[in-house]
Amino acid sequence: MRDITISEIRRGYLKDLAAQERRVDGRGLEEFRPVTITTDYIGTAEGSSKVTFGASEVVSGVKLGIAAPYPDQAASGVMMTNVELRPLAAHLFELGPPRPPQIELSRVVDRAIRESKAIELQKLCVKEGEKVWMVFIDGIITNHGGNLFDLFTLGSIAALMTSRVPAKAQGLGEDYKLPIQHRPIAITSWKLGDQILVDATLEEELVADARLTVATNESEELVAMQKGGDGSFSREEVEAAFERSAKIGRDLRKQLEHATGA
Amino acid sequence: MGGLSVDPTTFFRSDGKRVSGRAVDELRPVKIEAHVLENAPGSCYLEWGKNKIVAAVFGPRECHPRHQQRQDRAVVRATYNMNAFSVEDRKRPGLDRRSQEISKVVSEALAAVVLTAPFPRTAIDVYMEVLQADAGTRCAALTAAAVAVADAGIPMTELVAAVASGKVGGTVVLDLDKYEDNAGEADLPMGITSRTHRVVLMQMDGNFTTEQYHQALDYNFAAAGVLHEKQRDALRSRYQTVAARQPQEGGAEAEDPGASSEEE
Amino acid sequence: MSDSEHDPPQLVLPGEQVAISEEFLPGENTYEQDGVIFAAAPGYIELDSGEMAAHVRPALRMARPRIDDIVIGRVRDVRPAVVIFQLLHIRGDQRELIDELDGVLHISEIEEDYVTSTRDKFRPGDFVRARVIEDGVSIRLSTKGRRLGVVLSRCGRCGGGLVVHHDYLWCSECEWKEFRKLAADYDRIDD
Repeated sequence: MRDITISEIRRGYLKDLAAQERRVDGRGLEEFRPVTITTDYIGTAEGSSKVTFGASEVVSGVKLGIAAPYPDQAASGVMMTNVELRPLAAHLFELGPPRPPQIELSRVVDRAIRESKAIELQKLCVKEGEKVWMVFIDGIITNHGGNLFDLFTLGSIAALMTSRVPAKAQGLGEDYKLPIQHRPIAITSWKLGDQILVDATLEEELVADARLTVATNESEELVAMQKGGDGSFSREEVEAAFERSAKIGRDLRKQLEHATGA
Repeated sequence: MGGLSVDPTTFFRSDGKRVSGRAVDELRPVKIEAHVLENAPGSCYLEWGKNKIVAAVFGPRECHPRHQQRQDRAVVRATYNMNAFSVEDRKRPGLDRRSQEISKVVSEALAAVVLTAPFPRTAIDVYMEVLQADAGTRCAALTAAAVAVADAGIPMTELVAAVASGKVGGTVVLDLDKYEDNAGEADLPMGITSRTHRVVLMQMDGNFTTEQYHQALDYNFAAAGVLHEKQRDALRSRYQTVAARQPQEGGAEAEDPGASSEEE
Repeated sequence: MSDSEHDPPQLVLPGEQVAISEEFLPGENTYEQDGVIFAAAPGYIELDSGEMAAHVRPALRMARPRIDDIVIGRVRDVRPAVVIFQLLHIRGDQRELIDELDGVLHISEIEEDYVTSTRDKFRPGDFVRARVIEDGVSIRLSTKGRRLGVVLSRCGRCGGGLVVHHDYLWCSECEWKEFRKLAADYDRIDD
């Protein structure tokens, strides 16, 4: 709550700066903070990553288990995405059941991974109609410095790309690499006054009027979108958001491929 | 818990060392770093063997719900959370009964050293996240939490560190790892303060004879001393870094906005 | 005054000895036990030979306002002689303040000129930048200075945003005029 009240008095200043195409930390409007991607961070997970955008930090882990398939997709593996905004990440989070922002974050990232068909789920069938692999993607935000949609999408795909299927432990032959065929990247456009910026800090995020998250794949096709916030976007702005996402996504994808050895 | 027909050779090599190569009274490697998170006023990252813990402290701050407020002091509320990917079989997110119990005993251990009287009606919130677990997470979590509290500048009488001794193959050993813990015949985690050597956390399960109990206490008190030194090292290097970056009193006064009153 | 101005300040951690009670009184961030003064927070030993007190100057102090700190507060109550603030933030300090912490601004500390009514200067809900002039049991504030005063306010009639017009605030929504003790950078604060 406190951060929200403090950001209220800074709104005018941040908007003025943005109108001059400037930001508090000196970045350009379409410039990301330094991005770090560390893989194989958690030994107890099948795949993992720690991704930071400046002060924003997420630890993501992939676990696999055996489950029953959905009746309508009897020969397909199952995936589930969940993120926890832990109270140590910022003053604003409280303990308790998932709140709408956390659920939205989990679901938007889930869509980017699922709709891009990043995981070859049909290769994760053990016995049709009976046994399939279930892929759990879990993330925890350890420090909230803003722009969590882009952050957790990158953390998830980095963890997936470095995951192994623990077949041996289930008596299903040798372990093998989790089959990943696409690399979705999400880039959110944040609207501050009449300006659009990327990779918002927490403060910028709290004063932004609206956001539009656009996930693209490596062929620069759209795979998922989500608009949030009380404000609105024009048709031109939503077109530009896609182009921006594809363009910046290209750079982030290169870093991802470098970090995962893909 | 095991205890059934344990073959001592499963846990000890011919040279008397443990399977991990450690001596019976040897800790796993412990690495502590203070102030690792930007938003929290105090934080700590701790690796202890394969355990990975991050702890953060907020407060003293407004105490919600209000019925938890104490008129004469701050309340210390610690929350221990084991993350989904931190264990072999994915753990469902959320606080289970085990986590709630650990949270309670860790809260009480911290309350024994934090000076709560200067902050009536407030809460000091301590969050401990287990990123990777390999036996001994409650001890690792309390040890990290104490560093985070000190890092936040919250007054405390002394530090506190926690460590467990247990028994495998009939022999008392310090600091069981997961392999040993899975077949452990006893477990004695203790939180011990750095100056007065008071016991502020203590739990036990399994079976100890009098001699074994005394042996375990010896191990724990000695190991706590080692951990206190590592905690101090982490805090010292944190403050030396700070001192190097902002020598002495802040230059903030120089550009104090109120100081411009002469301009009127 | 420090006794050891020429030595580098000595870093102590909670529970480490600062001084003995025969020679000094326990000062800030210390506690006394069995004739010994110990540190209660990480910081540097400061022996005050005038007051005969042993202090620990925190390496990183807690977020509690001290004299000369610049704070942001929100007006809770406007009374004839004083304005009561909920303190929100210390300038240059990212950390939270204790919520229940109030600051008090006496009518004589609002501005250099004589003020006839506190209500001409502040309204409940205003965000205000002020300087701490006393940090004892109660936190006392001053808004004397051109950058001190109201930094953001909402219209008392319609709740719309207020903009600066000459020396008053103007609500363009309902064409309402209000007076305040304004900070020079109203609605554009950058700290």
